[in-house]
Amino acid sequence: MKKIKVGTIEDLKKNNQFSKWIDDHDVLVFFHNNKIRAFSNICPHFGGPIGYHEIKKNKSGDNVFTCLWHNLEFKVEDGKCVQHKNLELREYDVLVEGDDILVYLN
Amino acid sequence: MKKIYLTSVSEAFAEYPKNLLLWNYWDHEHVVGTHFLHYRKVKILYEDEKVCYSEREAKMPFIPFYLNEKSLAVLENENRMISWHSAIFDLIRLKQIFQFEEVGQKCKVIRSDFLEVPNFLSFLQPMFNKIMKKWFIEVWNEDMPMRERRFKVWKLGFKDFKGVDYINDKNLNKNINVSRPYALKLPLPKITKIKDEGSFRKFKKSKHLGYGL
Repeated sequence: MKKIKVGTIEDLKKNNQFSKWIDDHDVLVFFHNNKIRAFSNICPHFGGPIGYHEIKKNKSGDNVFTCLWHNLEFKVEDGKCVQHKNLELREYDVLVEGDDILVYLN
Repeated sequence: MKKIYLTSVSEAFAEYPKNLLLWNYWDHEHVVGTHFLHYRKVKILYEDEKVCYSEREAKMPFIPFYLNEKSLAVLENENRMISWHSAIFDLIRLKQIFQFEEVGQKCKVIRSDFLEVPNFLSFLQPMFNKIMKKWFIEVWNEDMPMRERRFKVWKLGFKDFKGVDYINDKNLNKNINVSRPYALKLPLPKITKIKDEGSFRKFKKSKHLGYGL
């Protein structure tokens, strides 16, 4: 695993989330419940962008990312898809060093 | 009453394989997602590998309300698709012919539109042409990042309903095959209730943060 800078705290401040392609990974970095985390931004269904919309509460009250292409919802809590339990997003390990946000990539 | 056709021809060029463009046209479930500014509902009444009959609620350029239309699309062959649209109790009848011309990994799309109207409405020709060209460009521009992204993840080894192996499993090394041919099998598997109650626009409002391509 290698540690690569994906952005800065400043990048995160504007919308509490951002996504960036880095070393053939599309990484969605977000701030939620006082924690900086990162999911894969690639919907495992057809490959759509998970982080196109901001985090929203769905009808069940879960905080979710909603893929732009087909409206699949993924829980912020664990990256699991609400509609299709067998689909889930990879969570990347995150490290904050000063103002820099780094993720561990294979 | 004598009838005539109002006509319009639009074309555009994409640096993606023809099969990817066809995938995009036959992925009916993306319509209320990617094109949520223009469509709020799609329901498939029938679909097989060459035909799709659907109901749609669409808002066209310069028209301030949603039209409820029925659409029959037929993939005649891999280079030509025809769709017929009917709205307002069959008063509006539109035929569209799509031609796909592939050159290597690139593809040109030409869409010809024919709207049947009574002869006395022939003065609407310039307006029809303007609406249809604007419609084509707007929808094309909404689809382009989708196509770009789809091609990008495809080249990374993306598999439908699975994702990319090395992204899913952090213990795997990347094994990228950029020359992997783009495969298409119709009809595409569905994940929403688009064949039952329909697929609907998700939000009225959202902050759009972009694809991050």
